[in-house]
Amino acid sequence: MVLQERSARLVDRERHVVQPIDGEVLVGGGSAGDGSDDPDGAGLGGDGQSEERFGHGLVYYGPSRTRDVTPMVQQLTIEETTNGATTVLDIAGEIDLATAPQLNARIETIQPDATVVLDMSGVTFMDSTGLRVLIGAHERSKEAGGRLAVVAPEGPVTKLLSITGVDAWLDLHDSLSSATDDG
Amino acid sequence: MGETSRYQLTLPANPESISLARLFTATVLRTLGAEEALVEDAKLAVSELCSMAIVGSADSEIQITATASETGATISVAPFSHPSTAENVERLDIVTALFPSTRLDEPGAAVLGIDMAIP
Repeated sequence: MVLQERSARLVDRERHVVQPIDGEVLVGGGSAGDGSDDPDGAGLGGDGQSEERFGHGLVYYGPSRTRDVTPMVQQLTIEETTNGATTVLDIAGEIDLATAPQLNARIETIQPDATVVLDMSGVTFMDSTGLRVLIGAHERSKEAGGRLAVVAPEGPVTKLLSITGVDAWLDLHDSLSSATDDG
Repeated sequence: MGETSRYQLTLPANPESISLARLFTATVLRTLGAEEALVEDAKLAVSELCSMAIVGSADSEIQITATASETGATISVAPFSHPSTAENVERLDIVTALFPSTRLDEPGAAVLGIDMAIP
């Protein structure tokens, strides 16, 4: 996808990419869902077409057409293991509107009356969309008589849980050993 | 005195764009010397506002604009409309909890007022 290629450059140049150009920086091109693609990486900063297309100030990507391989959008990874009777989902990456459905679908494959630990130690970002997934899973588990524990060391996940007050009623732990020992 | 810099990112209004909006926000603020805690808060707020824009609007694009001055920075996300769903109410609650000075500017952009000392 063209968006991925372009954002790969964005990631790669994270410290250098933003210049006070007082102009526009466009990533992705086209409207949502227009299906446009850019297989050879041409586009922004590629051959000058973008500057013509988008107007003033497009100096953002520079002349290089290198195709960096840095992953641009963090993917969510979920690995399942078992620890005795406990199912552990090791979750890593970012949870937002794009990836929360993946997490929700994976949790829903587990019987709601099971003992489950969501190990979110590897989650680098979560917003309220992910929070709603946790709340839904918690409620389903509670109704079915299961147990759902969440592991989240201090960081972006606990910050969100704290400001929303959700930390007060989730079975929250700061380590996997604590979550699996407890209960 | 009073010199400002403006950065702007336009993205397709789809969920996959939100991580780029966060990356843009973080890059601008780090470039300006913001502390990491502030960067993380801004990323969360921008993520919520982008989610609101994508879920609550029919617009095909979202636009994130950062304006930096010697005294601080503001970040706006457009389009913005007052939330009509419980989910978007919660999203806005999170934004205003993080940045109480968030306001709605014309034409329809939510503006985060970020107080940030620049070294």
